[in-house]
Amino acid sequence: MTDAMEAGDPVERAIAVLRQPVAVEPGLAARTDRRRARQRVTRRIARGVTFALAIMTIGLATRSKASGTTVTFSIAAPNGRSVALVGDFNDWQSDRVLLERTGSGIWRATLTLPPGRYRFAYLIDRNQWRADSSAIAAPDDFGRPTSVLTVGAN
Amino acid sequence: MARHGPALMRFARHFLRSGADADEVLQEAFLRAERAIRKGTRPVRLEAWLFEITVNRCRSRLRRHWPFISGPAAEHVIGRTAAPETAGSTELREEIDLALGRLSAPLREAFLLKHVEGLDYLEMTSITGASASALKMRVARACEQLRNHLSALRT
Repeated sequence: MTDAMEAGDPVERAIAVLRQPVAVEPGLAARTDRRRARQRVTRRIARGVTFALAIMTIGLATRSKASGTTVTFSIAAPNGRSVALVGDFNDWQSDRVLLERTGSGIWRATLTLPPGRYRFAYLIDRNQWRADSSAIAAPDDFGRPTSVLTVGAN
Repeated sequence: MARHGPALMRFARHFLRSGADADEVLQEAFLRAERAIRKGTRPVRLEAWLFEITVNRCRSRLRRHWPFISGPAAEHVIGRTAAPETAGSTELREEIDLALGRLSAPLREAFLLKHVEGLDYLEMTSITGASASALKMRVARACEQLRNHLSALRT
């Protein structure tokens, strides 16, 4: 205790009063449980809205440049651990173009392609073959669903 | 919650000067602590860590009412304008509450952690993010101002 804390000092009296226990309002645990439940619902709704907005942007997006045409491939796979892009442009090799996941469960990759007609597909977790729902469908020689992309000359 | 709740509630109640706000802050603090532990946080000193979360929630709650100003000026204004809650208080409690409310938020925070919750400066440094020397100065100023306010209220 400093001089200020000597007996009779108003600050010391105040400290003694302030140190007295303050009651926790009954039902704090129950109120916390209800708040937790509300937060869960809010987070689920927010995630759903984010995913719904993101899913509106999936599919193919192309842009012509002097060096070629850039094509952005995207697919929704919120539960996927990896997504590979396979097609005529990479000899259908699953280790050449891996898509990047965005926070909302949409996977994207952008390639620059010369003019031509390409068949392609997505490989989710190395075992699920998926076509692009926004592109023209064209099964490959093995009957697997693939898509067709036509890149025009600049 | 049962073990640490009373001390956290005492700090929040005196700092915010509102039982309802303190109750909300404690709910938020416990949920934040729960989420952090679920994500892998393992606090070395649980009580100090819970105080850190509670202090941050208390600061946020004060700022929520004053989103358009910030910095020391904001703390000063916030400290001076927090609504007093006097229902059910004795005259002495009312005076102390009023005097405490006249301290700026940083001074009130440092004073409560040091003299009411009995924390040492090392713990207070980790909780508030302020240096020990700054905290010592705040506690000394808080005591001085509190003494002046209480004396003025008595005369």
